[in-house]
Amino acid sequence: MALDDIYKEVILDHYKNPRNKRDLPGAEVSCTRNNPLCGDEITVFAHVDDGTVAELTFQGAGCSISQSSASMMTEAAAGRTVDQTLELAGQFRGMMAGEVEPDDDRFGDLVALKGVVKYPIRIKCAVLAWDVLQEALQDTGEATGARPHTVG
Amino acid sequence: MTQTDATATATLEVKGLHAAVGDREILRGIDLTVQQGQIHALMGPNGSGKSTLSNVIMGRPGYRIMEGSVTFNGEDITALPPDQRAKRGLFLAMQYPTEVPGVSVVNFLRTAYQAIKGEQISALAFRKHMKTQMDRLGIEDAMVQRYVNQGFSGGEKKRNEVLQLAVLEPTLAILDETDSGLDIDSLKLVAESVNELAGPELGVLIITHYQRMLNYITPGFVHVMMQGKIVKSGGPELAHELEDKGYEGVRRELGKVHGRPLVYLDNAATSQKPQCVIDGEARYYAELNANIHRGVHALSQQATDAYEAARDTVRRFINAARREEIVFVRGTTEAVNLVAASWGQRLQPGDEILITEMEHHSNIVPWQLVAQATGAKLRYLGLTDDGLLDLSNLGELLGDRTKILGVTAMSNALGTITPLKQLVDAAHAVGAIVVVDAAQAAPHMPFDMDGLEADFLAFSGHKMLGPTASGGLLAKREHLDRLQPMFGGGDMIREVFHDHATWNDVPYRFEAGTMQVAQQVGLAAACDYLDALGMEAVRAHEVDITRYAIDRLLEAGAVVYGPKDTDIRGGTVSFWYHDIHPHDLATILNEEGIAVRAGHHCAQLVMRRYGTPATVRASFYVYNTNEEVDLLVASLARAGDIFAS
Repeated sequence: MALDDIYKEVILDHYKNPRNKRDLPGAEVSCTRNNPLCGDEITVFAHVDDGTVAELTFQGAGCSISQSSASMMTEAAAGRTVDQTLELAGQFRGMMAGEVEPDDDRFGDLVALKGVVKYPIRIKCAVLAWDVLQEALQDTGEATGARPHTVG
Repeated sequence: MTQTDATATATLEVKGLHAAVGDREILRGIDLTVQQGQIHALMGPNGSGKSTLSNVIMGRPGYRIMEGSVTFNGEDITALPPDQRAKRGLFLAMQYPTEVPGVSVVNFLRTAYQAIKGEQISALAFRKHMKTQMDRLGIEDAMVQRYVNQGFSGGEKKRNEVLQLAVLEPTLAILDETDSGLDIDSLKLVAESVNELAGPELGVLIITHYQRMLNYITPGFVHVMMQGKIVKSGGPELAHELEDKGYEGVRRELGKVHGRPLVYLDNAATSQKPQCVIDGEARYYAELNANIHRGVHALSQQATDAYEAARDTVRRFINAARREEIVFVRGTTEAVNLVAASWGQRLQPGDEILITEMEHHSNIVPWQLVAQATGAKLRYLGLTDDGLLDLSNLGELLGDRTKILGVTAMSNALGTITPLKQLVDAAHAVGAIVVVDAAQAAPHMPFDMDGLEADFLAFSGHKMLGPTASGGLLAKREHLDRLQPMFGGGDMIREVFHDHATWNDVPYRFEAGTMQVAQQVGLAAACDYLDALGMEAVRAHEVDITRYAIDRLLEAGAVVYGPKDTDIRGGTVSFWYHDIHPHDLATILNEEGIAVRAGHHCAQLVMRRYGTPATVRASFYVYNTNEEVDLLVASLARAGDIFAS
């Protein structure tokens, strides 16, 4: 099986069986954004406890890239500090810009989205969930990290 | 041999024939005479009415003759049932032969033979007659022992039709698409059989979509049928001319992109370019390149001549009344913006601009800018659930306050063809001017600017086989005379003073700076190319393929947006397939070598109206084929498998 096919399988797995796709009652932060170009919509909910993203969930609708990216994000970011999460977001953006070679350990399934770089028009779909998360966390006032990469 | 008077030549004569299926008129005035001993070929794209003609001649139920006559040997046969027509010597080889389980070919033929000849024939005598014919055609005994057409290959079915022709000995045979679905070997076999049977005793009318059968059978007469009429008749050379210029020729030239086969179904965005357009533009640079107008030297004059000749070509193509009514612009967006920025200046608070929810953003946003700048009010005609303009409240929306009506001729998202003439007349009745967005219509159907009487009409060259940045704004001369130029500089000027300047004549006053000369010259080549195909034929081809595509897509479970009736829609088909997001689907189709567009197609008001953020859009043009539709549908199924949970 080619690597591309494995990536495709991972993306489809998250799309068909999204992780942490649920409301989060009592979430300290939440944020909704959409991409009017294709109608992708993501809402992120997080419990932030003492500078740590204790729990992260999402709701949304849209294409396989946007929804799988959100699902993978909730797995990769949960348990990290806000700063670490923002750093990861920066690295993810870097990967989608073709500038950062992903670190398998930190990225986990997120690596599968690397192939999307081939389709520049769809990079926005992959990054949407991270935009929403970043905006949500910055609202907490606990963030110190800047946005090192912007894409799209 | 024949059932008719042996001394007379059997003659089928069709005169002024109009015929309909239900309310739909398919044959629109056919005149055709076929005599015993002659071979005629009736060619034309799918849906032009060829098979309908054969069905009407043979008396198949479901067809209604509205006008005209069909006579055979001087006798009006239109009231006769099919079997009576057969008895008089007519024969039809069917396009899709039916299976008759339980009846062997030999028994079927003997029964038919006795019915037609009106005489009993012993099994042995018939067997002998049949054997003679089978030997002529090289048909094996095993085939005639089998049940009629059951389990036959495509080639066997067609050969069985030819065997029937040989055994039943008609005086006039119609072969309806006998070449369809045959590989080249079967095609040769069938063609050889027809050649074997042709002769002074038999008249043949070959109905075909393709030239290829005529590589093996040489007809004495060739007729081209389009949209229910015979548009051209000639000798055998006509078939070859069609091969050179017809759809197959176009297909061969344009069916590959950069030398690589690609199913290109994104023609509503931009079309591919034929070599003559690429050459036309290149030749301009290689041989004529100089700046136009004002040049004293010869090369400048030649360049000017080529540019102005392009204007004449465009005038003919769109049938504008006068050459100065054509302003060259980069395309539809620029044309609409020119009108909005210039004509829009004269609007005042209280005035209204009426546009429709069907518009491309390029025919919305310029009007929003005008409304913001002048205080005029922007109003919208809505859409019906079927994807048509909702005209039920037209009288309310279009009134004395309306100064401008902006409307598309064909929706780029739904394919809908709008009732332009009706809207133009209604707008003129209240004193409003009409701005038509013809970006999607001009490439795909005959256009008559003069007859339409629209005030302004915008189109893009790149969607009609022409270069990017070619296109035009067509306008009535009196409007152009009153229109302020949008850009200043270059050839739009007559004289410049310290505090003001005077303008050149129309249309030059709107062509500021160095124009896209090479591109407009290339556009003229594209217009000539489309003219040679015939815009009626272009439209007929797209009606065929669109009907086929919609049927196949619906059959596959897709949701198709816009009208389904090809009379009121063009070849742009927006759809959703199952729950697969359009961007996902388009990505998968891309991997399968199929280029479609996914998104809102710059028509977000349309998307919102139908409650979807995006659709997949397949849009067809002259070079697309039903086989490509099949590939699209097959790939949809594969996408369905990938996303099935």
